Amino acid sequence: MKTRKYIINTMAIAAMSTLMMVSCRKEAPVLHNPNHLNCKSYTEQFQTIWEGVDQSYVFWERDTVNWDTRYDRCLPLFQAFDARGTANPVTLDEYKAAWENVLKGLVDHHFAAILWEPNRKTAIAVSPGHKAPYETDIAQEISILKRMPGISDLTENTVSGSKAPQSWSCLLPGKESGEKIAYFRFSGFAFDESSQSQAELAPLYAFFDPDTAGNVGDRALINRDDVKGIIIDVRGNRGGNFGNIAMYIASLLQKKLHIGYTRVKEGVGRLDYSAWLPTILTPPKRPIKQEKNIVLLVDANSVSCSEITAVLIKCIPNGKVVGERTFGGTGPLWPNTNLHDIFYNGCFGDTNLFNFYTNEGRTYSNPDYAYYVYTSTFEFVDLNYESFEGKGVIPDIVVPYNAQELKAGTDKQLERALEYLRNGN
Amino acid sequence: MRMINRLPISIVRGLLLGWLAAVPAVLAAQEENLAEPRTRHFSIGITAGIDRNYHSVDMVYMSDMKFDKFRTGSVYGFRIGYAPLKWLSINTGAVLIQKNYHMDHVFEYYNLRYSLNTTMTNDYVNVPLELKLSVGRVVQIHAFGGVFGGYWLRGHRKGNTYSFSNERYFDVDEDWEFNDKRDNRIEKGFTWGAGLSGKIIDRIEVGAEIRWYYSITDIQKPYMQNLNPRYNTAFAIQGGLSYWL
Repeated sequence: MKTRKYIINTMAIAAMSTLMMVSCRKEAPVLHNPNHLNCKSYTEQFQTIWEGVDQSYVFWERDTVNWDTRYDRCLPLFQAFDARGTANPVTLDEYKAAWENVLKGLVDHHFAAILWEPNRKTAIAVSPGHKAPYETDIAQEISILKRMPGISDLTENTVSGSKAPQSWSCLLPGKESGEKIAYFRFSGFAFDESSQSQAELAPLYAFFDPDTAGNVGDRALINRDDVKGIIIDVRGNRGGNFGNIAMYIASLLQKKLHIGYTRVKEGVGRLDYSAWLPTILTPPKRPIKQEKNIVLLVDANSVSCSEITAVLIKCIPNGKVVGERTFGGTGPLWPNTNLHDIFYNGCFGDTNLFNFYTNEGRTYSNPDYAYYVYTSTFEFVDLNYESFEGKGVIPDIVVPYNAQELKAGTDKQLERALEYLRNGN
Repeated sequence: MRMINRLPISIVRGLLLGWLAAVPAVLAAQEENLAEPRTRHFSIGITAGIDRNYHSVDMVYMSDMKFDKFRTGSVYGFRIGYAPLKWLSINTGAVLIQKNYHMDHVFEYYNLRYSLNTTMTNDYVNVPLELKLSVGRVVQIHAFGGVFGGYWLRGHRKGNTYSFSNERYFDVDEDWEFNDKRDNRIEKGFTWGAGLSGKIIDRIEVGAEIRWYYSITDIQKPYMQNLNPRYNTAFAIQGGLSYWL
């Protein structure tokens, strides 16, 4: 009898264990694609963007913001907004302040949340990244350039619809008589989008004169035998298409150059990442005739592609970066949210709202609390896996921005670049 | 469309109930031999085999990221047993077991089709502690169940991925870099199964078994709200050799 009792007890324990075993696993949370949601209230808009950033933000491994605490702290703010009703409407200042609270401290320096307030039929944008301490005075810098002794072959151009020129190239005197330094400047990297014809790309074409296969042409400034050095000026250049870097910088290379790595998110978890992928630039089949020293001029308003160019120039033995620490927004991104539905990270939300906010003259209307989040699709690091996000790239030769000297007609950063190319130090 | 990539609970329940059904049968058959003492109580042995792992993860709206249902790996290790009675023994030991999984990510972008895949090879050490009930004289039938603790020793990621900036595929072949914040390397779970064994010479016994390692610990630490849990369930077929001391 004792034995039977023992057997029954054993079976009872085993049955209980079985039930416990099956229920020991946690259920998956209910999650939605933040790229395709309609929000009917302040609270829903907050929860959607919070979840979207939770799943789609590529810098969680580096970011120090406690995103979970941020949710608990900020949710009541938006719930209180909804509770106020029409008698006591939320002001735009309150709305913006609440969002600044949510996003404060995120390291992504491309990040911007564009938020549609349907009650007021207007949009606001909140960017948590730091602001550069000054605006680059490109017009004054170009004015100084044009007055440089011995300047020749100046080409400048204005893209259709713009008031001021966006690109310049010229030759400046080298160390010895007859020697030249090629200078090239573009205020942004968006050649293939904004340019209507090859004529608009005149400075770029004068600089490296590509043939149809992208090879460097014989008439290119950088290919002339008397040109001993090259200056690429990306001060005040806020970035643009990554492809543009390959278009003009790769033309300076003699061989393939591995400049760093990128990765994307790969899953719902904040720390689910793909492998690091090498970023490699390929030179043209027919590169320039010989290696020439290259200086990249940067400042605190050099952003994104300009900063990646700085990393690239640091990778080549004949390159030097001169100027000030760059902005610190190095994560490549695609503003089009189609890519979100492939990699499930980067920009998400209503692209029409983004187009409305960033283009004058467009109209937009939406009865919902629409949103668009502009954030890096990729994380970029250099060959040592160092990230520059929120930190910027430190030049090899630091020359601080000096507004007073610039106003007085002296561009110390340009002068230092010329000095390096003429004297080699 | 929501993709549920989880081991169906009905299959787990079915397997467990099947195992439970074996227990009373074994015990009932033993009743006549209950009082019969064992002459040797301790055994040591080795075991080896293959396993198929199921990686349970709910990919929610990321429906084109698909995890293979099962992935094959190897199991090998040693065992120690103590049998106070002829029909009952307590077993432990350690096995090195691979709990592998695979992810396919196929998508279209501007009418071009991209096909990415990653295979994760994961080596675990599992230490089970289980009760084994046995019946039979020449050939014994066993049913066993218990718990196991484990440690994620090593991971390796192999596959390919696509770089839009370089417009080409890159091969990926790298050791998994453990992240202290993300990766939960400690594993706990239940193990159960059934098998056959028989003596080939006086002290040496050979056997074969099927067993499940059902992990109840997420492979990720609870580092965020809304964490999507990931679990491993390994089904193993093992053979072994025991020596009775």
